[in-house]
Amino acid sequence: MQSAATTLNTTSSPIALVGTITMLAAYAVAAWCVAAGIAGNAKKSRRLVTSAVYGLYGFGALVSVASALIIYAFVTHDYAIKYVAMTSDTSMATWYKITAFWGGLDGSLLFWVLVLALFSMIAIAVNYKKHRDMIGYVVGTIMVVQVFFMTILVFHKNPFATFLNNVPMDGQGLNPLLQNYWMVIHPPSLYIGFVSATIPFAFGIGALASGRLDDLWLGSVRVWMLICFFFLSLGLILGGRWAYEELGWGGYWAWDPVENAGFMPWFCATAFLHSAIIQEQKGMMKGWNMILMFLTMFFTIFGTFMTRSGIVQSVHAFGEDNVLALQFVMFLAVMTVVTIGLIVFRWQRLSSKMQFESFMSREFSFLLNNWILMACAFFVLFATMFPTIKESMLGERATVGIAFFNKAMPWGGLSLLFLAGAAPLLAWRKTTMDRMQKQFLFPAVSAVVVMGGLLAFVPSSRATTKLTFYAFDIDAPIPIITIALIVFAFGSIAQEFWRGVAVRKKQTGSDAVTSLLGLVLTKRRKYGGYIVHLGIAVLFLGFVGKAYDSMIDRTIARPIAATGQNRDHVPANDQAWFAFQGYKFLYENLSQTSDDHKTATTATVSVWKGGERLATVYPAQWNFVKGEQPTTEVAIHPRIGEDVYLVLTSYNVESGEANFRVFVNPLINFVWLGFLILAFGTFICLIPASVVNALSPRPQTRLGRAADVTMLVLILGALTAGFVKSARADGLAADDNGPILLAQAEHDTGAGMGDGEGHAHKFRPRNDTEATIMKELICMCGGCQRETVFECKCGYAANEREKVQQRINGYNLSTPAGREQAKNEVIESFVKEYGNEQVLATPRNKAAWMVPVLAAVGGLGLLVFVARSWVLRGRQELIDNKPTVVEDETYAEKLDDELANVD
Amino acid sequence: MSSQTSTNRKSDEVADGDSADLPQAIVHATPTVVTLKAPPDPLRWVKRGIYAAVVIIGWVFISWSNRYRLAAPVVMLQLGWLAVVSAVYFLWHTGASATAELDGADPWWRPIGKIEELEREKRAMLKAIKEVEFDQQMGKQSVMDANEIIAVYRARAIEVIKAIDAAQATGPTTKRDEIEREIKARVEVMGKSARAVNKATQAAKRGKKGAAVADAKPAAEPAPATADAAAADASAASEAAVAEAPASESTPPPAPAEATTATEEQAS
Repeated sequence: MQSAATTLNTTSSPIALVGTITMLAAYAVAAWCVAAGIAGNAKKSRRLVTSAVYGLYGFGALVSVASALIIYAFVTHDYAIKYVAMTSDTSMATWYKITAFWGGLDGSLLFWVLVLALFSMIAIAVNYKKHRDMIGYVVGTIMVVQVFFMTILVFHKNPFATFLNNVPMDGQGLNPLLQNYWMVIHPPSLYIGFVSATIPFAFGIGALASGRLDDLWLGSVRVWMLICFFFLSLGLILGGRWAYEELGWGGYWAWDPVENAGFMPWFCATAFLHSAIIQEQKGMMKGWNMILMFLTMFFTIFGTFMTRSGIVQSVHAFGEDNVLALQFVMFLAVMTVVTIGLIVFRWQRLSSKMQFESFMSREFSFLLNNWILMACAFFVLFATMFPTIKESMLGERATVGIAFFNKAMPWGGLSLLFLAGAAPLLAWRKTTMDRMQKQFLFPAVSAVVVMGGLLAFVPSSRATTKLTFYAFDIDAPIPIITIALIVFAFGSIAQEFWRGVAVRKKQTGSDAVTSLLGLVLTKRRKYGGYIVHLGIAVLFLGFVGKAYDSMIDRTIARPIAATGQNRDHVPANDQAWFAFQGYKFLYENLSQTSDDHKTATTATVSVWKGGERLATVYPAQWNFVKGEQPTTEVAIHPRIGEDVYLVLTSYNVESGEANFRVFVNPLINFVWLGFLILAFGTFICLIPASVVNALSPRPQTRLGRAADVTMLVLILGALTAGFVKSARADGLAADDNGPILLAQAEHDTGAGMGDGEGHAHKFRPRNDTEATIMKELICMCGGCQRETVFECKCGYAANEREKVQQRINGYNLSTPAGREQAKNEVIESFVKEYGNEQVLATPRNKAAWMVPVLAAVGGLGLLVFVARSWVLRGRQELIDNKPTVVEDETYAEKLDDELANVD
Repeated sequence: MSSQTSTNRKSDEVADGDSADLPQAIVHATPTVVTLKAPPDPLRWVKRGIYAAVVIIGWVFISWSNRYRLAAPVVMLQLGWLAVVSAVYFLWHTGASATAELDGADPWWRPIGKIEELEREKRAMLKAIKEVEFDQQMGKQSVMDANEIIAVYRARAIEVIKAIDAAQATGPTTKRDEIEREIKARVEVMGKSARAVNKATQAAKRGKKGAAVADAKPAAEPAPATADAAAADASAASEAAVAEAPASESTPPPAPAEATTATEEQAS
């Protein structure tokens, strides 16, 4: 991109020099911390441990210096530094220059180190005294991770590396897709989620190494795992929001390897948060919790490895790098060997007598939850890695598209949704059948009534979706089952709150509001957890909407501005109108503006319903001066029940012709709302006891208590409103009375999508069979990321669609058998044409289906078998330990005193 | 000097860092019993002042050299300067701690004991009993089932409490245990005295109420008498508890290296 004329022959950069020295110093300090921390703890040398702790703080400060220097280099355009030249340019806004820090591989690794350093400083400062017996090991473990990343940074990916000669006058700029406000906060939140998994892992290793395996450390670890869970959730949801607004395909989750990399540790962290409760309640599952902590950490590093080594193809991947891949593999191997070794070494102390009294108990529901979560994590891992595994074994690469995940994951998702509602209804230890019936009555009846009502009165609720069943696809009524389970979960949680408040009222004699606040604050983890479950149920409501979304492509010859019509009096038969899903759209104008950075082409479209103008939206395309492809700036008109989502897929600036892709996405806003509820629940779980104690002098008046509740509702409402408001990704808000395109046309010869017409609207499916086939074929143009030819907007996909239409001609599509034959034979013709199955969105290889299914079913069988022996043992224990003697009165009184202090 | 600092450290541990381990009653009772508070380092404000002054002088210089224009590069330089000063501060202490005098037999390291395992089990049992009670009140368990399970847990909890008492009676393993035992004993005494006062007050109230209702003075007379006696017992017990307090303060602490203590205070 940079010509010889635009380069300087100086390579001097004091920033690069100081930055490199700082990194080397940090590397040395990190190595010292590892040695001093581990040796100090092993030899019980307090001075070494203290030195290691200070070293960790010093390391954090040094990495902060390095980070400040690299950002300084970005904002002062120091293009002698390669990384700065590769990921920024002078025309970028200051915010994007700062965020370019983590926009490339080298900087993102330094950013990882920085976030981990800052987090570990907080974690160590908070826990230094409390866990002083193991703090040396904790510091040592954290710093081993830091040494690993610093090794990569110092020897392989130094962000301060400079050009040897020919320094460019300007940089290449940041990937246009990353120049989005969600990308300012999405990567940091995901990094924090990844990084915060290191803290519990380090405490786990510390506990194993020091032998302090009582549950004192578990409390601290649980808090950090909760933080990890929250930030992973936040990172994933913000990533989804970014994809929804920036990628222009109407969805928010594509099972991309990077998304999966964040999802796998999320499953493990969630499993840990549940099984840690069993350890606290019953002193069991210590070993399993250690394994879960390790797996959470393992998946964060493995996910980073996947996306940074280039072993998987992803929209986010940083390219292939075999050296980096080897370094990650070695680190993962060392981490695994050390952790497993320590667990084996301490196994005798970790293994506790496992005993349950009943299958119908909350602890068994937690076990089931752990099994499902781990099955989901390993399924996602397997499916993500399947193309790489197949290529390494058979030399042939496969593609695992969205459809593969969407057909298989409902099994796990629906099971978890059911447990989110059912587990709170079960008592600890055991629940008798009659009690269970009473507990389940209200939620189950609510679910059945809603399901019946929907089936009877809303025909669209009878929709079915594909579901994998033993290597076959079946059409299952997943949407209505999901809705029934959501209602069941709502009913269950509402009942829990209702009855809990009633008990609290009885115990304390206070009113309902005070009892509710008291209940939530005294049992924060339990009721905060229920709110998280509620959030999950609301998220699922958003997921259900995906079954009902719809899409259309429309080409409009010219806007009304070109004909000089008043936009409020356009005849209904004017060609500028088009209708879809009960909405009418009026193409009003097409305008083009330019700045140093980009040329923005913006369409003005008004959205109407029932003769009323709902909104004016501005779908656009931005052609960045330094970008290879234009970016899609979608326009969203959010409504409570659905989003109207417009994409300008192509345009012709001379004629005014524009192609629009319109999605109507029902229930999608419940995804964002569900996350807010989940975040609120997590926040409740994280409230420290000291804060609750400080809040003890509650307002005595009813007005005061009402004010408290109102304040909470207002905060939650403001957050929700802010989030929904920010959903208006209108692209460039062009002035409605802006320059009419045709007035500009004589100066403007450009057009969207590389030619004057665009391709998204070409050869759209004429029937369901064509649509099904197009959804089964991946666009092999090389530029698209696993998009099917049905949705891909490029010219290659249009040609593929044309081929499908040509090849399907001659088949009898009037019978199911004929349609099935046409589908199979046309798909087979594409496999033959490409010579392998990489063109298929869903791999036909039986192993792709069978391995995860067999693993999941085998795991369930093992769980039931093992749990049965635990239950039998627990029942026997209950009989054996039945108290036969009268309690010692002195000790009984002592016990009552102690119980009085437990809330 | 060294013995003094060590004593301070011990009291600090009980007063803040480890308070989460102790029952609430004990935590609340500590201020009245444990009065050993570390005397602040007289130079700490001077040290903090120097640190702040160095940071501020650097910031002023950066601002002056950029003509007091607050732009992104200036902010980055100022943050960088703060990080540089912090790095020097922490790395200085990294070296100072590493080269401090030898640790010796440092009570900072807690022995891994059976008592903590028992305490954990006791806490788990108490929580389990409470959970079963709550589940029963929520209607998830029948009274019979709940009572059956609670009886088992109570029996086990009592066994555990007995085991803890027995383990403590065989002699403290650390000074920390000794202090905890001392506090516990006093809280128990204070608790008993408080209960006695409560009982006496309730008895007095009952007596007055009975007198008012029955309008029979002779019947009410024994009640105030009982209350007075109980109150007298309680105040005697409280005085005894207060009188014992200096004894624990004068417990001779071990004398670890001075430099180690200093570094620990800085780290915390």
